[in-house]
Amino acid sequence: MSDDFEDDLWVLFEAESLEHCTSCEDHLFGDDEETTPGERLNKLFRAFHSLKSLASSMGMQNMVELAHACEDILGAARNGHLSITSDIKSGLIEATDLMRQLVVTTVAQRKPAMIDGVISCLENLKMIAAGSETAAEPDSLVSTNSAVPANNTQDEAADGSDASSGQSGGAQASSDRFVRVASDSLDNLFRLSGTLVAKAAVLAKITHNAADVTAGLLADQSQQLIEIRNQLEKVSRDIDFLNTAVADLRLVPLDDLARRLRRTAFDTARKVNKDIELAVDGEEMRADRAIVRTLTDPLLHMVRNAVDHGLEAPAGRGDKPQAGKVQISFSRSGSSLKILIKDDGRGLDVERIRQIAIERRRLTASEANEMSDSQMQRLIFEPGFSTASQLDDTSGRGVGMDVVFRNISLLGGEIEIASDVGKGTAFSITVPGATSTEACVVLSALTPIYAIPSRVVVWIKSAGELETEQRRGIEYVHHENHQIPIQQVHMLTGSQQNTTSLTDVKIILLHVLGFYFALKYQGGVEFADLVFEEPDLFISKLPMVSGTTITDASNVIFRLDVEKLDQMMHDRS
Amino acid sequence: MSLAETKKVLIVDDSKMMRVLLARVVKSDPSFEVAGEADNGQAAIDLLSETSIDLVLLDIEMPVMNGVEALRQIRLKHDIKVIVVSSLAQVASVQAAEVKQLGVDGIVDKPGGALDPSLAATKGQELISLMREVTGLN
Repeated sequence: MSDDFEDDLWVLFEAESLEHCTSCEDHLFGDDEETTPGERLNKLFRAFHSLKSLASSMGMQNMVELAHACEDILGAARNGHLSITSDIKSGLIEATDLMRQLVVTTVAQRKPAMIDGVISCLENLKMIAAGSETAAEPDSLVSTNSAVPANNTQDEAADGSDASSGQSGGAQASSDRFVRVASDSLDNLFRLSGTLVAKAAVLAKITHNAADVTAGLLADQSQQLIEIRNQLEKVSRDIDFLNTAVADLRLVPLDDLARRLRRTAFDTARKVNKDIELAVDGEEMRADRAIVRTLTDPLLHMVRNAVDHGLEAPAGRGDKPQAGKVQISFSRSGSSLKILIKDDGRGLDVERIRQIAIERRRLTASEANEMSDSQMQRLIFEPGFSTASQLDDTSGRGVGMDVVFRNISLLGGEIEIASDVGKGTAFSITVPGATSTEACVVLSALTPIYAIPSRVVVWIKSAGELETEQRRGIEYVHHENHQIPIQQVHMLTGSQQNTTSLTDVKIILLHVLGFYFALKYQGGVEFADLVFEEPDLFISKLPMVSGTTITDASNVIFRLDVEKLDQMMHDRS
Repeated sequence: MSLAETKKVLIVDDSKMMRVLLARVVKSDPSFEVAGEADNGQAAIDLLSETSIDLVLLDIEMPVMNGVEALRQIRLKHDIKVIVVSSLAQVASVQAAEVKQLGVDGIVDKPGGALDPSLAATKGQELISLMREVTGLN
């Protein structure tokens, strides 16, 4: 076998296996409401099955066994012999981690690797599988004759409907859409492209001046100079495009970060025996690579804190549901990236912070008494205060809230605290310049024009196709189990609805931070990638605007402040 | 052998690596050529409607449309030989039972890997002989 062929095979093997590991993790922790539990089981089963095939083709017996054991468990779950408890989940995730390590080590050594933990993990998985009925073993479901149990034909039918809905397999699709590039090469490219822009600007200036001073030159000489200047202008434009394209390479999707945060939340919850309900929003957004890197550790720390210290122990949650809610959401405001980390736990104990501040002689008693609650809360960002902010825990952690604060300040960002005793704590982080274009639905029949970020749009339907219901003068639309009141978008934004267009009336369904909103709009919609700027002082007084941009035709477009929609709706009702 | 007699093979597997491995096996016998690749059943069905194919190497577990459904559709619309290449096919699985019922021409395990050339050769040979048998070359 040729070395080239073997090299190719290793590269493909590593990329595909790691992708399947990631999708296992995603499906295990996924909170994607659109995927039914059945579909999720199917996808998980397929991912483990693919891992088994890949491992088998490389002769990695231990990984084959791990994947096979996972497959058995999911087979049993798929057939209803077993339900996926959090213990089983963590067994599966442990197996996924081990397989990932096996892949990386094997690829590095170019021979099947053995690592610690495989055997005990395998035993654990086998025990889980044995715990379900013996009939749950997929292999023993059927004898060699062709009789097919009814429940399995249903599985096949489910697979078939998957196809008709046109859902593409994420793993395969993405393997062709993304390439891995060494980060050094990228940095180099950014630098070169930046230099090119600067040099082109100097050159353009010189020729521009030269072309203006043509008096002493012969006619064809000055003609040549003008020609050079014109050509250079074209090249400069191309360089600008190139630079924009290169800048775009700096942006990375936030899903990797979101995955790590999700993982940390569940791991921490398991470690401290708490039940959590985790919601992650906006992970499909992209942000600057360097900024994401700087934010990763602080965010991981904050999520750990939220679960470990923010949430009460299950017994101490009083009237609140046993499972603590943790919400992580990414959104955009103008060119800034906003991150919200929120829990419904005990809230910051301001009195306790005040006491500690006085005990540690950070403040005199009278200073401390003059400070407002919100000033007190911000003390947790002071160096040396971080352990004190972990009011119920004696164990220190590597990174404290002071480091979180410093990293965010380094990026020119801000962090705010909103905390209510007994109700929970929310940290809002804003980092400027982290984001670039945002895919939007543009409502051009409004004056001024408004744009809605596509990521919050569930669907746009013509009102004629929809069944709506009138109750007490309010029109409602159904979506899944929700009854959503329909709002006129021009009323909400205080804009004018141009009714000249003959296009039908549309209902636009939005899903923001766990809430649905239905907007009624009349006119055409367009789709555009827009770059928003922070609204200026005058515009920021408008209620529903969180960004502005100007189109090629010099029209102003306002970004609908979807993140504040729920607030607006409540104020009005 | 003249070119006209070369059997055209379509490789259907969601793993690119598996397609690369299979393509190598197919190319090792001059009687066969790889006429196309697809990463799921639906893509294979689409390809079959526009390309003339003599033999399909079909995986079972795939996203979008799995091998069982793809085989069902191939049997409805085309007169083409189909060999199921899957680790599921070897064992007495539900899927194996189903593809047998649908009238598959052959079932074979996935080809082995890069690490053990002798195993790769044995498994490759196994697949080639089955392919020759199914297409009437032997």
